[in-house]
Amino acid sequence: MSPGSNPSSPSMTRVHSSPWVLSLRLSLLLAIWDRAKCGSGDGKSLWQRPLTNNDFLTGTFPDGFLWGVGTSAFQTEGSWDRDGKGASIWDHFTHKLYRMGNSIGMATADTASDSYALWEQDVESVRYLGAKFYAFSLSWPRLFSDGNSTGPPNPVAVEHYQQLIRMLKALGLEPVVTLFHWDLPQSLQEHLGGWKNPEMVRVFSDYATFCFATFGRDVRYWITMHNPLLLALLGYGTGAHAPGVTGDPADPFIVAHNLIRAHAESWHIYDKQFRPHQHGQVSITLGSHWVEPFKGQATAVNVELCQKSMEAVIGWFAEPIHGSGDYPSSLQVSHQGLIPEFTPEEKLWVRGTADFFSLAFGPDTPRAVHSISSFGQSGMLNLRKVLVWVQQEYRDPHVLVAESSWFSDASVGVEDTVAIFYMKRFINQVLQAVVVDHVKVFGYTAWSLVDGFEWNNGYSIRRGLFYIDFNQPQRTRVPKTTAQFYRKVVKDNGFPTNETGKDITGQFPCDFHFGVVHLQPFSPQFTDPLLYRWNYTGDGTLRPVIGVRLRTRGSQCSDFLAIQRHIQLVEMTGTSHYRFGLDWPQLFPNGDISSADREAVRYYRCLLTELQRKGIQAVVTLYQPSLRSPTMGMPSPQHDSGGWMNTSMVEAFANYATFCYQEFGSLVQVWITINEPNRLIETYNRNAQDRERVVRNLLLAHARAWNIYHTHFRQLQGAKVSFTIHADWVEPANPFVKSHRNAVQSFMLLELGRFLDPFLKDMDHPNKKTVLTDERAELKGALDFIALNHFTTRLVLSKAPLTETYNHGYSLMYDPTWTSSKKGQALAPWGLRRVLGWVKDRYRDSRSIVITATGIDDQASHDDQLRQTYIRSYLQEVLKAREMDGIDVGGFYVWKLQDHHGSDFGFFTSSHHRSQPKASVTVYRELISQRGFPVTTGDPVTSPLVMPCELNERRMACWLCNGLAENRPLLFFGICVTISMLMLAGVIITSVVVKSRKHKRRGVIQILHKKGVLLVFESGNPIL
Amino acid sequence: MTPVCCVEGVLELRSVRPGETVIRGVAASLFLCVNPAGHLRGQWHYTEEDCTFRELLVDSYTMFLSPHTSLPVSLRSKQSGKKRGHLHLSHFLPVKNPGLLIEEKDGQEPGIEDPDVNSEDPLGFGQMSQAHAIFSPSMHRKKKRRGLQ
Repeated sequence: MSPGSNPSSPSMTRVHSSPWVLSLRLSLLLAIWDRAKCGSGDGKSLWQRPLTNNDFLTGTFPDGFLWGVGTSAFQTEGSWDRDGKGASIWDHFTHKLYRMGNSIGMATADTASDSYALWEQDVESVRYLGAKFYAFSLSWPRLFSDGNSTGPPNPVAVEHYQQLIRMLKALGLEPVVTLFHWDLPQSLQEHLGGWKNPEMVRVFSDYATFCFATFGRDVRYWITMHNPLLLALLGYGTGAHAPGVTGDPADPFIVAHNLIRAHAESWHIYDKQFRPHQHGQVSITLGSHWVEPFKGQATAVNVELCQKSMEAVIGWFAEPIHGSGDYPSSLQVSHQGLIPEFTPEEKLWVRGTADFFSLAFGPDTPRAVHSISSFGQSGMLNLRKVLVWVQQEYRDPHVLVAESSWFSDASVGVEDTVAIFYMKRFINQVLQAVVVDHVKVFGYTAWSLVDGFEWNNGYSIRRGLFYIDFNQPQRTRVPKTTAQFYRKVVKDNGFPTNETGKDITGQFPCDFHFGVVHLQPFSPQFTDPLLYRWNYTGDGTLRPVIGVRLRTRGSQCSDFLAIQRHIQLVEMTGTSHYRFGLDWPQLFPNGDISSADREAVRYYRCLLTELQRKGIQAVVTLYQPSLRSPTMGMPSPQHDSGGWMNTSMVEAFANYATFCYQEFGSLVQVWITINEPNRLIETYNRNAQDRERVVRNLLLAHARAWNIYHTHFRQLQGAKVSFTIHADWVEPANPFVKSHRNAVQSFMLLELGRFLDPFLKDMDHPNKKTVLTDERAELKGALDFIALNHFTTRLVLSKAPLTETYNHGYSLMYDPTWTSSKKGQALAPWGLRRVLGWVKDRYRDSRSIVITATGIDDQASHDDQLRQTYIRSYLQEVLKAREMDGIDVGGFYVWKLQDHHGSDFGFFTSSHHRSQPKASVTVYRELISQRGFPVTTGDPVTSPLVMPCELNERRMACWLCNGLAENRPLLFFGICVTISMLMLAGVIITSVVVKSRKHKRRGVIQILHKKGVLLVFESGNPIL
Repeated sequence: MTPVCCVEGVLELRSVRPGETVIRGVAASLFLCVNPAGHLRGQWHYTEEDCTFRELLVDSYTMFLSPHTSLPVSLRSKQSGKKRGHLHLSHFLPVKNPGLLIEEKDGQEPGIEDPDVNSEDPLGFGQMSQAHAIFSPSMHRKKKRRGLQ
């Protein structure tokens, strides 16, 4: 439980006036002076060297980490004048503004959350969360109505807090008690002028002494005051907070000076009088913001300004107490004349008066200081960096996060989805600070327990884990979804498991498709017979010479230099399958078979022949709609007549498919008819009925194409035919909200079910209204395998129940704690396994599932670490789906082969960037050669146990023929020599034979001649 | 724009669409525009129909065609041209300014803008997209930013 050893601070004991002590003090002073001059710590390095491991961290907090939740008295207690309580400055302030009809929204905290009466419900709420401590503050004017702690206390108030503390102790909950959370007794404000009066140091320490004496037996953690910075800045500077004093720029500094000294005095009192028998610890909670250099440029000037910004806010209080004993020198310089000075004795006396560092990181401090203390730098919300800064500036103290959360608007209510992600992020940043940066954080306080009075925002913003309807007299506490989330984090002591789980070992079978995808390779060869003349008329243009036509040589596959280069890239990835799309408008410029472009056909035949020669299986997409194409990838006549809205598209597509089967079928192993019809329909931005028509036409077009292949081509060509569906996974945005959980199933039905059900399910598919009975029979079973394009996982939430006609009732978002690419694609490998599981559960079908496209964008032009991680982790999930879930996954195709322009999804940079391979090529190649994740033997020298495959043997054979092909001239020469030798031998033999048997001469020559022709032909054949 | 690039550059050329360019004088901060009558002039404010030039690559140099008349831009005054009997057309040789490119890249870095501390969602965690705009890499070309998919 203890955050560290009890403080032993010789320099902090009261100073006695004897000569040798004086000299000791002097040397100490000099030491402090030196330290102050050269800056107190090493916090600046944070902006110069970025922190590592910024991704969401899986792991738990150290054993004994303290989870807690907090409130403050004024915000929650209410009962402002009950049982002899005096008015506080905040009572006075809110009442005055209420009378004036002020912007707080005519709100006072007279009842607030009614915690004075309902304190037992609060304790119950703390228990609901499973927290180990409850941080609350004592109401000074409740204990002493006039603030004078030398007089008798209010016995009812004392009993109230004693009851609360007793109850907590009885339940095994630790009370963390704050003496002062801004609610100063009004009479002290009126009689002494509040914190502007140095007399307050004594008045406060008297109050502290009373509290230590009265409650200290049961309290291990004392906080003297909460975020005094805001009291000084807003209470005595801008006047936004009570007491609302404005006007004198020196006031905040005088107030801060007195607050620091009052704290120090109280600490010394505890240290001397109470610590020996109470064994508690005392600190002060300091609020912080965070800044990053302007535009991310960590220049020396910007770094200096960032440091200055931190020193002006948290450093103002932390440097005297946790650092040198004096104000930061940057603050002294910038506020010369305004900022009071500590005497040398005071510096020694103030320094080190905190037994741990108590940090508040919420919206209040950044909101208060972002306009005045940013120094042109960028404000950021990064709790981890604040913790590391504190570690480096103040010699690695033990730290309690005493307040952490953001806020929600009052309208959010109980389902506070966004707040969950802020909580998740802040807690994970603490975990990173603990695990990665070794900051000694020993506790975390979620803020706050219940909705309450949010100071100058009244009840318009909420920070509670429990919702309160302030119009209801009962003030019922309802756990928000953040309360459920926090309860889970507390129970797990952090984030012990990620969704992915442990990696497994295992290999994919020999017939598993390792593939790579490319959009539409096409590069027509220049075969223009015209002759041109440049700049003839001086206008700088090329013009053909009329009447001249050049003779061009007959076309050959070797004309397509691009094919060779392109296939070289495919080969470098080591994939067994290559998937690409045909260009429909290129093949059918006028949309029908009569316009078929023979050049385009020849190009694709060349490409496919070359692939076959290299032993690479071709997976060909007939129709690959893309927004790159102005006609959505279809010939313009079809596009102009309404595209897929028009029923004639079914026929047109069937004709096109038949043509492709005829022309290329012998060279194609897998056909994909249509790519991602579920994305294509979104380009038809029309009413639901029209969209259903598009869906129907797409389904029928595929079914027609499948049936044609099945009836006329399958026996001869034996390929598989399917269509791909875009199958990203979704998780409920808020797992604690039922409608979000239901949205997952509705979303998947709309995305996948709508297209797969008609083929794989008997009844009850969502299209029964739009697809007629005989058509339904045509669809049923018209699918050889299930093809899924999976890229990422999103979060889904739905306010209205989803229907097939109305699908805009839900929204999508990302979990911001997920690692994501520049384009915002989240790396969530487990989502792939869940999609596979969903498909398996729904269809219980024997057809195998192939991941026909998967990949991620990465900005790196060479070392694409994100893509490497993506490929490894997503392939792991496929293996898990196969091995652990028994799902027959037949292939894994990475999108895509090559970038188009800049660094994007490609394994290779674009041809403008010389088609350079990125590091992921090697990673993928290795995974393929090992066929997954084989068990590695203990000995690092021996290679992993890889079972040989026929495929590998075939590749070996192919490697041999490649070797032969590369030495073509040598081979040709060899064959010529052989032929010559044979001819010579033949002539000799013939002449010998002629001499002996003249009648057999003719036949022998013929045979030899045939053999020679055959050999020449073979040597010429393999090369295009 | 950094001061260094401004000192060295005379005209700033920005491509707004393939083949279409906006020209701005760096020192004067005026856009080069053509009024409907075909007269060149400098303008403080950019108007698309007057200040977008069509780019034509001639003999490794660039010529700019007026948005209204499609005639090539000449920076010589009419008098100096008339002396020689015909109008001289201006040929440009644009040079890439690495300073400018870096600046643009930095400006696009996400998360550089200050979070709005007065918002309940300063980091934009709750930015949502509608389901009819799901991004698929094999279908779509570009995605601007998270949430706007």
